[in-house]
Amino acid sequence: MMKKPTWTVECSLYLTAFLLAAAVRLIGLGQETLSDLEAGLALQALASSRGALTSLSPQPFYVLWTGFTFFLLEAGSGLARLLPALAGCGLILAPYLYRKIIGRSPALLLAFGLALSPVLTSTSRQADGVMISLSFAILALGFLLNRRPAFAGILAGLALLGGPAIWMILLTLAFVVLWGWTISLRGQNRTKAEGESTPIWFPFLRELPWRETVPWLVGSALFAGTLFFTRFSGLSAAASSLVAFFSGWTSPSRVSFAQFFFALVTSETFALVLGGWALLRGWLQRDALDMFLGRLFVVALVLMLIYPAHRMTDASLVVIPLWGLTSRQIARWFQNFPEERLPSFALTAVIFALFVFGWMNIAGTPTAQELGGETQIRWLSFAAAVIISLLMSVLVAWGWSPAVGGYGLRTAVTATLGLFLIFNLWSATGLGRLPAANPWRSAPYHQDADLLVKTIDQFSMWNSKNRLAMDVFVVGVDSAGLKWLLRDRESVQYMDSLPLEETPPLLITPVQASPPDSAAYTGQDFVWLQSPAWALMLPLEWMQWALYREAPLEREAVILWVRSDLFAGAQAEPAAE
Amino acid sequence: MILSFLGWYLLISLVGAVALPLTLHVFSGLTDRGYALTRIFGLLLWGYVFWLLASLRVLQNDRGGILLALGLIALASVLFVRRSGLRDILHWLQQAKTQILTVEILFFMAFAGWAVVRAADPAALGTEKPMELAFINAILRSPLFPPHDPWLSGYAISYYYFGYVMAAMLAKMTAVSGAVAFNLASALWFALTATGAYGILFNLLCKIRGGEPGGGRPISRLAASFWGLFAPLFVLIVSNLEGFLEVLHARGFFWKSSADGTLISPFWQWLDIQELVRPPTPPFGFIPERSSGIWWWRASRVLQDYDLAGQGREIIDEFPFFSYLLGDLHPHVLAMPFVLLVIGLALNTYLRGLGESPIVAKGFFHATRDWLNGRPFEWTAVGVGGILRKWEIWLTGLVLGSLAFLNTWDFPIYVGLFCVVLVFLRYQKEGWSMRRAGELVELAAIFAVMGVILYLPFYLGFSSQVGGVIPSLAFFTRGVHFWVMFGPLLLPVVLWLAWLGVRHRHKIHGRSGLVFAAGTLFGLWLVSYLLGWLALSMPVWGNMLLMGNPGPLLQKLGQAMLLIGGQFYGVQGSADAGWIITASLEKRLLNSGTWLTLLVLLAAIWCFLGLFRARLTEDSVIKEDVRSNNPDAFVLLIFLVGVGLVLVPEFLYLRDQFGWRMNTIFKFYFQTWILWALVAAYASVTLWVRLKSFWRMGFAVVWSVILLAGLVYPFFGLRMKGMAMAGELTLDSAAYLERYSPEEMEAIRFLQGAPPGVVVEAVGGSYSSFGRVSMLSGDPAVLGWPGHESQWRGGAAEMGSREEDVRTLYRTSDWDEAKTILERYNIRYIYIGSQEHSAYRVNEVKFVGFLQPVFKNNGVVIYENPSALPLEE
Repeated sequence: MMKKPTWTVECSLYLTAFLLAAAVRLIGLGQETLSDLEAGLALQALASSRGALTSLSPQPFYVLWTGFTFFLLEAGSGLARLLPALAGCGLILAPYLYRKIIGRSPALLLAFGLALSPVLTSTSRQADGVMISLSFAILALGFLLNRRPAFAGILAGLALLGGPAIWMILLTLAFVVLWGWTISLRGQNRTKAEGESTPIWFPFLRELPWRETVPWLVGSALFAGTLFFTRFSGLSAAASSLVAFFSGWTSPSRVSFAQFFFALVTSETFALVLGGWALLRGWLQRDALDMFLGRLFVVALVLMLIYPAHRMTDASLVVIPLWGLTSRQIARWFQNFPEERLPSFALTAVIFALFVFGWMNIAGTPTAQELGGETQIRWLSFAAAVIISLLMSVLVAWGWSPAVGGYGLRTAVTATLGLFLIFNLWSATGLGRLPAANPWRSAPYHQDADLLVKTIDQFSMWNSKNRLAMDVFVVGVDSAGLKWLLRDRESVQYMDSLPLEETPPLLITPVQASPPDSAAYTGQDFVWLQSPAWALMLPLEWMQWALYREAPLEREAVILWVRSDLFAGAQAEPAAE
Repeated sequence: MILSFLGWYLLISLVGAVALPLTLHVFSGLTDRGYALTRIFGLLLWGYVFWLLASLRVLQNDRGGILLALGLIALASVLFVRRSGLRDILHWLQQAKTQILTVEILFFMAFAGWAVVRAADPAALGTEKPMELAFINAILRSPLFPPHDPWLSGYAISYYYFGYVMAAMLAKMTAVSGAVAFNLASALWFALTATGAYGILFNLLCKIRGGEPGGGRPISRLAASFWGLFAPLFVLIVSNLEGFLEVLHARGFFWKSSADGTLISPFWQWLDIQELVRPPTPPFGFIPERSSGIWWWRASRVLQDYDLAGQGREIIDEFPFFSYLLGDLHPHVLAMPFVLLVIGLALNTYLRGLGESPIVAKGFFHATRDWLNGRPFEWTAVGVGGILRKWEIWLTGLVLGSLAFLNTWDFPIYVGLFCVVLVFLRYQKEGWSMRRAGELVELAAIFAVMGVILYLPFYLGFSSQVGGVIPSLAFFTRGVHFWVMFGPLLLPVVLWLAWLGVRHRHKIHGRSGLVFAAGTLFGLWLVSYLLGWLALSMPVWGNMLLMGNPGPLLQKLGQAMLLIGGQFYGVQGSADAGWIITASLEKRLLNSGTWLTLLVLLAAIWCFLGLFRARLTEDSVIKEDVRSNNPDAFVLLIFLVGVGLVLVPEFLYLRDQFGWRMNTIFKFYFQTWILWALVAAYASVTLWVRLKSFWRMGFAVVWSVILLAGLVYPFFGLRMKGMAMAGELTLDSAAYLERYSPEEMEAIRFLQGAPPGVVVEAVGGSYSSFGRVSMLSGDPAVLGWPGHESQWRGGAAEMGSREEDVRTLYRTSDWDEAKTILERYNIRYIYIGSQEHSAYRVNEVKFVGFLQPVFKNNGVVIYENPSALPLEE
């Protein structure tokens, strides 16, 4: 007799985590203009939706299926980011598949952790295949472990279509398996010598339903990779992802080690502190699961750092095992409430208040450059708050109850880090005050994109009663983001140089260029690209970024040239130079 | 350079390894199970899958597509691993260590060795090298398949370009430029040919058995591994005797001073090889030299045709070493490893025997005859039905069909060879009857149709320049030229045939062989004269048709007959039909060397083939030969096909743009060389192994002399390459441009990095530096070499007024006129370099006024037309 599915509190909590993740991943998804990197893919999707024959980039799932959504609905920045965002939401459900391995409470906590992780949130909000590969791969592995070959195969097929990231994921898993295998071999030899038998987990891998999974995998890759046999080049593009991955070993990265290090430390402080604690504990106590997660974290981190073409979004794979460790640590800490609840809460509140006090002092530091007397007092105040908190916990534990002392400190630390996590999460969504300062972006931010388009629209509207009708010439600006913005215009021409006989009504050039007949034009500059100089930032500037999301910015501008006769009244009175 | 070489070496080895399980299964009849052929087989399958799927727009022309194609081959191989079992394969690998090691060493040495030779003289200059490099770069640059024609924008390549696809695939996967790939491909194909030839001989030698009358002993595998090296030696290195003659000539042999002090030589006059008829320049030495011209070129022009008026016609008689020394990556070179693959496949079929093969079935013609006699038509009993159900047969069709795409002329030749082998197996079993001839036709038709179906996308875009068969009345090969050409190969074969004759002197039926040979030869002679008579009378018939007031169709036919007849008379060098026939007959009878040689060889082959028929004799030894599929018979068969290839152009040749035998001889003799070189290698080893005492010593002397004579050309050829080396060793075939015209190279590099688009450059004659921009950038030019375009497309219709339009574009001062031309051909880049300035009086003012230069240096300006559409649209 089949077991009737029942809706439990656990299910509700998973649903809550999913909704939370959906909220932070989907709200204001189309608010930012697509970066050049995103726009390159989105333009391919748009071409695909229009039936144009284009060479697909090595992320066929994203391109083909986003193209399909463009075909059904109107193409837009939000829609261009929808699939990765949905994949990111889907990742939240993965812990449910692993609950038998990591435990029910840790799995649930992991779902919330993944939902609130700034790195995962930021990656999910970018039009790219990384989250698609990662999410589907982890779900596929989960289903495989639960012996559901159909789902595992389908999701694995989709993961393979996600892009070069899948090969990094597979390589990471392969190294972890290899590492575990060597350890188990060593254990086996040792126990053989001692005349004992050691259970090793590799036979378990052999027992998984690989054979049943493969046909589903092939089928799903074939169906999804060709958009139901309408775009066969998708298969070719999927294979290109392997080539792109290998090519990455010979191409330099634009991401500095400092950017990655500081961004990870400041964005994922919660997971780093608690996960790090769990890893240390697990290593000392020889906890197999913690050690496995630790190995996964280390291998992913090392591979990401040594992979020359790594991008910030690649850190997504690094944070997942870290959140796994974190969730296990939180579950351990809060497994049992102390009997004296009131003193525990009181201690928590005091320590939390002290931490907030310390935090406020740090936040009040004027600027990184001004390390005067006031700054020193603030730093001392912060240090004092931390020391007092620790002292209080120790004293309570000694004088009252160790359970109360420990609980108070743990809860306060978790709450403070949680607060910082929320702050970082908001910044990672790109909805904050300074979206350009999000370090997890893969490409620079288009600052005045909306303003530029609005200006073009207005000129077009005034002169032709149609905001899309006027000719625009883009000369010497090779930006996919700009092409994406101007995608609906009827007449846009891109060129390296402007023919001398041409005098288009609207012209976009880099700042250093001007139209041949510049007297006939009036120009306005717009900040086109804006990104912090991550590689050049000093530790104190990083601290300032961590507190205020402020960083020294590099800017690149374009000029919109409008033929002077298009201004109101210009026909009657020629515009002055 | 070393990294590029290693990249190619590793990749082709990977391809071979991926295809190995499939190879071991398909070539199970061979002793080495096709190991020596696995790289060739893998490359062919990989290239086919990629090309086909890219042509069907399933795969993209990028690394992903190429990788996926390899993945599909790997998948098929995995299935074969499962079928035969991994243990079986590992066991075989363990057993065949010596053979594997020999093949690997040979492959590496040949690849590396020839890469060094190419690196000494890497430039893609002169002859048709620019065309070949242009194809490779165009394929690399084409966003979609079929690849664009580099010298006729808006059109796809109309040529047999499969070899270039393979070279481009390897280049793309290893991130090597087309210019470097050009030379690496030459070296790789050399090595593949070496291993392919080695594999065939090795497998033949392993089947030699001992205990036969006349002595001899079986050859061990270890010995066969060594003797097998004779095959690459004969196929690739041994050359015709022209090099030897060059040395004699340079040393002044057979020259004597006349009364007025000039050097005269009846010998050299009689020999009649161009340039050698002229006296050498003193001081005499042993090193061939030519004060004006290239001495080593003459080896590819030994033959000399004359029309009946005595007018000379150039004939090409390339052989493999010459082609590799020249460095051309022409289709006949690119097809070589795959030709050997087909021979290997035929050998595999031969050694496996017919068994329960569907080819034993009744046959289509027989079944049809039964049906006409009122019996039901049995599809299952018909060969065709059975054949189509066998995947091995389709695979054979795929391998055979590839030859048409590689070098179209080879397709019918090797379909013929394969079918001859199959029919011979039937002959061995059931003896001769007219049914064998029917089977030959039926099988040939099946493989021909299969080959066309499997490569249909190629045929849809290909227009052949071959326009029928012409009887050869005035042209034939003189005996002395024939022996100079094939002497080093024929001598060991003749000795071997003589040895066979002595060995089987009591069993052979000389008369039947002579009858067959005479019948074939004089039959061809008759057909040739009949066709000649028809061609000569065409003007008469054409005039008859045009008399009165004929309808449009008859008028057209009459005019065509007049034209063809007129052309035929023109080629013969006379307008008198009767005289043409009698003069032709007289010339042939007076110069009987070639046809008499062929008559004797054909008779001998036929006699010996008769030995391998089971019912012919009661002799138990012969029966044993039949049971074990004696390698001698297979060798005789491929020798027979070679004889056929040199015999046919004596009487008939294919009509092309040139009108005489130039291409027919070139293509047929080249294949004959490959076939006979294998036979010569086999014959040499057999005699070395089987002859004893005095006979062996005698053979050793004769064989060594002829071999040394055949090695004179390679020796001095390689010496010349070493001396011609300019600067450091490099595999970059465009390095010469960097050295002599860095401005041009800089401009071309700019185009390589710019988005693809139609480029306009100066148009000029073939074999020149015209078309250099499109050749190196891969962008399609409005027009490159008009002469070659005309050859590829069988006419100038597609070119239209392009040549004139390009001239106008550069010279006109009228912007509107220029703009019209730019729009007509969707020209994106206007290239103005030294060649353009010297070819036209370039009027640049109009471009300066209306376009902006996207590139400029001291020698070159490139203007971009911003309104040109992207290439892929």
